[in-house]
Amino acid sequence: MKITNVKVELFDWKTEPWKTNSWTQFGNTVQLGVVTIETDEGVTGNAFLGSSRVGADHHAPGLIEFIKPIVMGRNPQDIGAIWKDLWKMNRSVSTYVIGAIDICLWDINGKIANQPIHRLLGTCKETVPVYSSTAFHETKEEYAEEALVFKNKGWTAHKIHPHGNPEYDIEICKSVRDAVGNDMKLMLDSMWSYQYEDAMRVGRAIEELNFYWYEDPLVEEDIYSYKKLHQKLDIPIMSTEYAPGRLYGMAEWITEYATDFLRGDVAVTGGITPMIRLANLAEAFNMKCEIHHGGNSLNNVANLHITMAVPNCEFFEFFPCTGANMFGLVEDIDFESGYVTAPNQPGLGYEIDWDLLKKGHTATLE
Amino acid sequence: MKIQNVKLDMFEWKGRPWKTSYRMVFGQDVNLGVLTIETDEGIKGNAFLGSSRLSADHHYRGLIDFAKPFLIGKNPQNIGAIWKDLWKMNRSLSLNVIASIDIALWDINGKIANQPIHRLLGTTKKNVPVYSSTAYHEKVEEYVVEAIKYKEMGWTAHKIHPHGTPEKDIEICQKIRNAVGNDMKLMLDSMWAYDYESSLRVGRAIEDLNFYWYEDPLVEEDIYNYKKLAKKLDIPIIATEYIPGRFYGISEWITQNATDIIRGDVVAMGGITPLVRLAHLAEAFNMNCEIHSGSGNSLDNVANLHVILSIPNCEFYEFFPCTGENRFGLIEEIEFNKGYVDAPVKPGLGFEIDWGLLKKSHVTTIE
Repeated sequence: MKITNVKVELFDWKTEPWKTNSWTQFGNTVQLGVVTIETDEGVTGNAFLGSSRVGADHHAPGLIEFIKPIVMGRNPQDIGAIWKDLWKMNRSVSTYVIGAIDICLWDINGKIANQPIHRLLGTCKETVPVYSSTAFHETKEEYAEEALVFKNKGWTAHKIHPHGNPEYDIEICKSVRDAVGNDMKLMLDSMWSYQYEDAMRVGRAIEELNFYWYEDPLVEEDIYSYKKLHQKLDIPIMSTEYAPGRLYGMAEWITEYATDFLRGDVAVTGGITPMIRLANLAEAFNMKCEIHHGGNSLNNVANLHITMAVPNCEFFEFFPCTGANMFGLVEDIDFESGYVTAPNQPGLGYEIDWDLLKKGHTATLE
Repeated sequence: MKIQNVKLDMFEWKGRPWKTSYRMVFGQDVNLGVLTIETDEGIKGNAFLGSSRLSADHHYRGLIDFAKPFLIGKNPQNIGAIWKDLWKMNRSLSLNVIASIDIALWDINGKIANQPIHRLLGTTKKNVPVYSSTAYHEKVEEYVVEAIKYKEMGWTAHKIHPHGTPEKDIEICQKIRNAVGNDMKLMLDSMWAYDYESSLRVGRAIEDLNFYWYEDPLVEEDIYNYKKLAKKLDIPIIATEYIPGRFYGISEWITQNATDIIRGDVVAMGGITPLVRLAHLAEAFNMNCEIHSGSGNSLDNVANLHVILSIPNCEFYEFFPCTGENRFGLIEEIEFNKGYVDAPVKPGLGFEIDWGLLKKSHVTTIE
């Protein structure tokens, strides 16, 4: 089997604007890319490109100019071999592009096998709990209200994206803890906001509040201060989502004891292939690898397959605050119960809503 | 899909005795176990159990008493979930048993998908070079003759299992290097034979002889001295094949810089599942994970081959040409084409069991 074409179709993706902090804007109208890899035997693979923050038009030209010539004519089942070559292109294209190509190939591989992708990789579980991940809200009361919505639905875990202001972040955490009581798992994702001193103060405060993990308190390159923080705090620290080098940058985070969990997703880490390796690395150290949301619907589906295929991911992350991460599928992942279940259709196993998308078609690159 | 039955057929496996050291005898007459996992949809998976050293009858009780009741009724495609539970039984079950179940499940998974196992895992290469791995020979000259034979066949790499006596081992290495010249890769596998002082002496000697790697110079538990040795020597050290804890014992070997290359095989690690994870761990540290062979049987070798083709960081396939004893029970064996092994193309493990041959020496069926 050979790859005969690679194309990206771009579609308008209109959503309400939303934020994860006071300055990072998501939503409005961006471009969703649908990547299609075609083969000489008729099987095709798809992935979505772009997020509601960074549209596919930021990525698609590099995909066509640099990546397409590398994959044309290759056997789409040589996924590991192709990924190795793609990774070497990471100075020319983003990990989003590498991830999208890798996901297309896994989609093809699953379709050839007539199996969901997680089955190819040796399924470890068929369901995991979801945690609700907040957007940025102006007031702590809004954070508390949102948390209660999910608690009342029976969800068991909730993650806060606060203001990035140490004092107010502590207040937000307190009011959310007060609202939901002690039997909901709460996590804080400070999104790289603090310096070491503030990170310590906030860390101690949320230890008192019995938080479950403390995510990205410091900037992602700062392994020096992560190590210091980790030596002091009892609350598990979660980092490495955006660590430089991605999979190949993990070694020092482990050997230096700079984090308690590893973290990544198909878009940032660069595909299903490196995500599986990342999780397996963590497993060898009896660490969890918690998977970050993927930025678009089909990336989330790819993350879901990985979550089911690895032994050491506890949760599936979901942003219920906005529809912006759910667009373009006939049916999206069903979160309602607070649990997600393993996909059972071949490949990625979620159908693209071409009819919906075509209404906003803007360009095709090939 | 559900697992409906687990059974083990045992067959006499007669071989010519051979050694990897003066004290470790392989071959002789043992029993080869053929594990069959049957499902309610008719698909079956197989694995072989036992090696030409350690017969299947050393293992079958755990398989039938402990593993079988646990497996019946499970979805055979939940391989990761099943492996996790089997691993927790490793105080009751040998790793050979855990491995054979895992391999049989991957065989089923490949057959369901109608794909070779390496395809399920994202193939990284089309073929892999093979190195010839010696048996124990009494005389230095025998080692030399064997090495020349493979060099003349065009093979590019050759590994020596010496006597375990430092002076003699150095002599064997010197004579072989002299015989094959400088363009064949040579490796030394001392098989846990030395203490630290001797391991350093031998290591320096084979550095001078331009050897490619230095395998298992010290006993497998001795991370303390491996660390000392790795600090001193330039030649890459390869260890961890039989370390305590196997996959879950590897973290200190990495963090302590006690080895340069990671090593394992489907039997010693307990299946395809942990072996793939082991290689991924090594890859994150930009280390190779060289897959061991020869401790098992023909289907174990096939399972190792699938793993090699699905990971990015294994350079060679290991083969023991010195004896036929690791090759028994398949209609066609893994073939070597000008020193390379090609990727299997048939579904599952993809090598057919020679039931016609085996049935002639059927001993018992346990289920």
